[in-house]
Amino acid sequence: MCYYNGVKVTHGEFIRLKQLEKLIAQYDFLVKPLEIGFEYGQYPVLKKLEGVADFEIVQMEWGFIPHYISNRQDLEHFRKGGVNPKTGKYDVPILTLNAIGEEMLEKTTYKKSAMHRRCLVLSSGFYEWRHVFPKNKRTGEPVKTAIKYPYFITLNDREYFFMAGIWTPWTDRVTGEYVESFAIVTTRANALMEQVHNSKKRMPCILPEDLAYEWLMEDLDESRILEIASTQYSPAEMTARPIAKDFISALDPQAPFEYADLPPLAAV
Amino acid sequence: MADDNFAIKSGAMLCRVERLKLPGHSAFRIIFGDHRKPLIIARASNADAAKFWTSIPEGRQTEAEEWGTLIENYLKR
Repeated sequence: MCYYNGVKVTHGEFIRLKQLEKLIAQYDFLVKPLEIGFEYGQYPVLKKLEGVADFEIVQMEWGFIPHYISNRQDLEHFRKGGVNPKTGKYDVPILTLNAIGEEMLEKTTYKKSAMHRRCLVLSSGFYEWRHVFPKNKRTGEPVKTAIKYPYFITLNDREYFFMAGIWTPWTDRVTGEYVESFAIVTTRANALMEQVHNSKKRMPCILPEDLAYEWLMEDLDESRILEIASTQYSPAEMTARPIAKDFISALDPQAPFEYADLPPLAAV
Repeated sequence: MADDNFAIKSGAMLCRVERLKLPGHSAFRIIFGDHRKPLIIARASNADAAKFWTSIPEGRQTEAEEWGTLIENYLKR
């Protein structure tokens, strides 16, 4: 007998459940829509194999885990912030979902990975929020608090595409859990994404296939890394559609949604 | 036969459930309305041949039992 999830099961059942784990990992890679959302989780990533011109597809945790984080509990605090039990002071949450392409070589946390552990994040689309400031009916001035509308952004005629990423290995010093985590490299927004992600005017660094290969497989110097990381995908080859505000729990999160009060995006 | 995708409400939270069609196996993925990591659950047999819900991979047994019951109730409707 052995145990699965604390429940005593037969050896046969244990093997069946372990097989199911592997099937699900494959299923995630091959069947799951690869939209990039707002939550930490496992995503398919192309990672170079050492010493050969080849790569493997693995699942990595989105949200770069810096080497100085000791364990999951500290990681949770790092990501969510809150009162630090050791100092009694409030720590702001630190987000490492994205790495700013222009700055990543200046950041101790990201530099080594940008130089030596670059990866490609597989995606079929991603979500961003557009901030709209309607005019106050009385004063005619824009209101101070934005109304936020979610958009789903895809590439025209491309079912899947590559985002530049950087990854890092990490081991929980309490449990021994080994995790590979990644950050998506971002660049300045193009003419379409300037309108959609209009609060930050950033977008993921989406790479055409030749640059994707170079990013993943080749040894690059700092200037070439920065050059590729600044790639802006053509806005004419992208589509951004508004979706429902409760899309995260919707049956079809990417279903287009019409808002009567939402001004259309300008043509690009 | 229920749809492969459906929604289940737990308290005030609406969650999306996907049936995963795998060779020789059946499993469900629950995508939560909050920021929790999605959960995959499947039916298994314990050493006494009694059925139970379990998370795949291991580690979220309590959630697996709770959501397994909700899915069962939904499918029996």
